[in-house]
Amino acid sequence: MDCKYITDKVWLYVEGDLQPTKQQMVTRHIASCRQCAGLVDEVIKSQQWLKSREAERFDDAALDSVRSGARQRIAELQGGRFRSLGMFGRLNWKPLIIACPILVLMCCFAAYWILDTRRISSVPRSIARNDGYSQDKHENGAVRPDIGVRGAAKVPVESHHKRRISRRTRPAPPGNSRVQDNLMANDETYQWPPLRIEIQTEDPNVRIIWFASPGDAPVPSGPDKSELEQERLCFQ
Amino acid sequence: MPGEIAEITQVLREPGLAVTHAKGCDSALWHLIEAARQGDAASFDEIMVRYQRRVLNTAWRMLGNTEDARDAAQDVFLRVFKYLKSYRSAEDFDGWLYRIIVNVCRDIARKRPPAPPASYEAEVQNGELAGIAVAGGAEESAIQSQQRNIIAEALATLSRKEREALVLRDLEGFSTKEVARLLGSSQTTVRSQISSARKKIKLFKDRMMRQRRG
Repeated sequence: MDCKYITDKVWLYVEGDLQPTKQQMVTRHIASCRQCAGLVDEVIKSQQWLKSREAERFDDAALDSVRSGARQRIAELQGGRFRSLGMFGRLNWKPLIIACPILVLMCCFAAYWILDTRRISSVPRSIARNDGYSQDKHENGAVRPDIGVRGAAKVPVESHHKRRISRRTRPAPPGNSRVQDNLMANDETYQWPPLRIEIQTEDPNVRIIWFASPGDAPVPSGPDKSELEQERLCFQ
Repeated sequence: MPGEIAEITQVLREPGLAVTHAKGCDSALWHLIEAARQGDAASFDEIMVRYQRRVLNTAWRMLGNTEDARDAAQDVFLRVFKYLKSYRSAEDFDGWLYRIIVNVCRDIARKRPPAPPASYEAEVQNGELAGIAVAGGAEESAIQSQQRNIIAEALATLSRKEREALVLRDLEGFSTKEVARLLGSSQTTVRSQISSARKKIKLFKDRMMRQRRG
């Protein structure tokens, strides 16, 4: 162990801040080295000088001012800030402030949900007005069935709700449909009216439609047109 | 010579020179804390009276001027009141309090630019510090006052971290391990800071002594 190491470690050695093994090594070294022993002596005196400094004495007035200042701050903390609010000043506002954004978000969601539900519920009524597939009552009091059979003439749903009822599912108006006219005109291909079954599900946005087109395949013989017409009238 | 050194070292380690800090807190203090938690203002006042001098001195040593030390002491007691409910009985109350002191002093030191250390005589004249009555009379008092100034100036030359470590280790009497815990750093770092600070203090003291003699 050289003297340079001692010079570095002496600042910790004097207060016993070194590890025990290193402490012993330094002790052994200074026992044999007068120069290092002198350095240790100087450092110890310096430490004594530092510690002998008596604690600063604050007079009673200074201590009283500390206490009164602390009391004042505590009083401010305990509700002085919200004194003008009276009873509300004593409320713990922190959780409420934290909960505020959550409450606003929940209100927004609720409002959106209510508005959306109303918009959806308005759709079946418009459908009912136009095509008769609703549980709404007829003018004569009969309840309309939810299931329509065999190609009743469909009035287009005049709904502003294009997102929910797509153009593809919207039935063509009678007389305006070129396809229907063509089918009606050509007796060879129109032996059987296009089979159309519609089921209005509970969800007003979903309507299941089966549409069987005769196409090129031979059409099986079915009931007479007069029977179909009667059936259709019956449903209407 | 080595025997003499060992003797001096032993004297330095005697409990009289360093403040001893007991773990936990005594039953009387615990009763005061419990009562203060329940909202008893008198009990909290009693706690303040017990610790005000120590808090003020430590803050003064860390910050270097009386005005800041007073602000720090008030802030410390405010925080003690605020967080007293979170104090657990098994915890060392002194350690808990000193952690608050360190944090408050750090906050104040960060907010304010480092001010030159106030002269001890000037503060006594301003009435901020009470003059210390020394048995030896005016001459002795003047010498001590001079020493105080040198130490205050020497502390002002240290960096903030060195100063915190030195004040807690050498002036407040905490062990290196406790200082590391209070400052939230490793023991190795604290040893390095203490070593550097002690060296700077000695160099400053030697220079000042030479200047005053010359």
